[in-house]
Amino acid sequence: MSNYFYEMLKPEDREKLPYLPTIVDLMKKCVNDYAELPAISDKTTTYTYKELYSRVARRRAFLYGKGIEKGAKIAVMARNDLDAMELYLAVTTAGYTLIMLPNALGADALKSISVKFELAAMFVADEFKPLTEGLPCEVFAASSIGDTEADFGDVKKDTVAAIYFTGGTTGAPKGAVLNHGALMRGSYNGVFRTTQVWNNRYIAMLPLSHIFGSVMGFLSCLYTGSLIYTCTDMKAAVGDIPVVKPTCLILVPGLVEIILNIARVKGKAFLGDLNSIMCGAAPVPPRLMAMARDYGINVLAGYGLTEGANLTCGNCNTDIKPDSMGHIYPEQEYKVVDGELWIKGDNVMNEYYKEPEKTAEVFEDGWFKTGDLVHIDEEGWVYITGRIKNLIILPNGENVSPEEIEELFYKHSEVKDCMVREMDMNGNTVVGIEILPFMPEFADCTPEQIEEKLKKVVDEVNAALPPFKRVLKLLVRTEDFKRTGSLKIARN
Amino acid sequence: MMIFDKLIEILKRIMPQVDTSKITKESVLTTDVGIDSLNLMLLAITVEDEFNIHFDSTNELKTVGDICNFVETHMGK
Repeated sequence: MSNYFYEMLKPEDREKLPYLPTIVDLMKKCVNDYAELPAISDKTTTYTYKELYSRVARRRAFLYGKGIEKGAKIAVMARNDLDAMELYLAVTTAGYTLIMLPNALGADALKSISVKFELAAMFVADEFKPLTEGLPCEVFAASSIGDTEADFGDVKKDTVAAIYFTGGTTGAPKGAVLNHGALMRGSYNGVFRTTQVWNNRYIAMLPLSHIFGSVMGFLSCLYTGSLIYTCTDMKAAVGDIPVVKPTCLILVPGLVEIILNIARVKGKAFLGDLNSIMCGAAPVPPRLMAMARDYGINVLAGYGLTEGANLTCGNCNTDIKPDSMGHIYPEQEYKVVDGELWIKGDNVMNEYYKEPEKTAEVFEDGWFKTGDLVHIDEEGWVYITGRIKNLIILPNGENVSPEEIEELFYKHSEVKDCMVREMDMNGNTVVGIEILPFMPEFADCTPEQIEEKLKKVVDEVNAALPPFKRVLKLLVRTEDFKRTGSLKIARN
Repeated sequence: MMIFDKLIEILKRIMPQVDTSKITKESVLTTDVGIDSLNLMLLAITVEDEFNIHFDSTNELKTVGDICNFVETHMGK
């Protein structure tokens, strides 16, 4: 077990930050240790940890008052506002299973999700209310709160806390089932850093529906009594950086680049008190770390998965090891099998909800197979060398499943065969597609006309996709794809 | 300087990797210029500063011309 992380904190700090097995324990610690400190704020309203504790208890009272059975699934559809943060804590500490819904979901996806995940109820911010018509579950306003306080539910380390969507699917997604112990392991890991431990201010820029946003960007922040500002509009939140002066930000690489580019245009003063950025959910280019260092900001990198409650390894020395994902966190068991990283530990998910076959595919003898290829050197530094699983990971942290998008293209008669893959566009990784046209549909067409017609197909498919998953680059093939022995398209 | 020309100058400054020589007002921001949603936010913030305007949302900005029209309509308000 590596001392790399333990030695980052002074002994007196380590003593104040023990591993806590449930979010209930976290809330108790927060109200005991940080009562009068500001906890969450939308700049107009700020709640201290004591006030947050009380408000979450009133939210629980509202939940219990609805007679929803213990362990039921309760979803939240809201931006990263005060309601969403309180509901996150209320639903999990009441002993229900929380599902934070991505904001980009449409009405049809909501319906599939509410059926697949057997939602008992959904809390919805006003702007999303129209999407909930006809849903087979109770719908409450996200602002709903009781008048009195209610106690915690019967919550233990292995009580299911939340289901997180993963896998980049566009229909009813896979749901990784995580218990309290898993989420708390992830958030405990996030506490260890070489940068400022206490008195931090954050802006919750990454959605709470994303494991990185809720574990590193929320629970980990509460662990050290930090102040977390809401984010209901990304552009406005970025504009708030010189106003609320966060000391640390939890970001995906794409956002790091944007913020540093804005600083380049507006001047270093734009960054205010920012001294560190925790970066993950997608590969972190070393050039970003160098760019940030020029502004006196330390970019710390990490690697993890939704299925592993966010953090499997972390790098707090990106100045000397910019290419590495760091060291494996304590308590994370791991082994490398044929180059692939397998993990075991209390951070790993129970299963994909109601998907026994897909669950069986990723577990073997109790080990979770990450699908990522790694090299770990003699000193324990981890390097990601490739990916077995067929997934596009964009700089904004979003995962895109190529097969899901290819299926949509195959519905068009102009497409004989296609492959969705990562492509470069002006230095950015984007979703691209190579299409082999079905030539009978293009009789007498010039190459330019073929491209034009296929661009229209791309537009049609894109219209049905959330913006961040749209195909941005098209390559029209004139020759067949390279194929495997079974005549499937060879992806590598 | 025309708004379009100013916009090209901004693009060259904040996204030097973008080839601005073929951009027209009809150029689609995503597929022609190669700007994803995050970079669109960067562009919007820079344009806001430059022209002293405010975009309520970047959702309706599909082409370079859309940005020019918005700036023209809201400049000086």
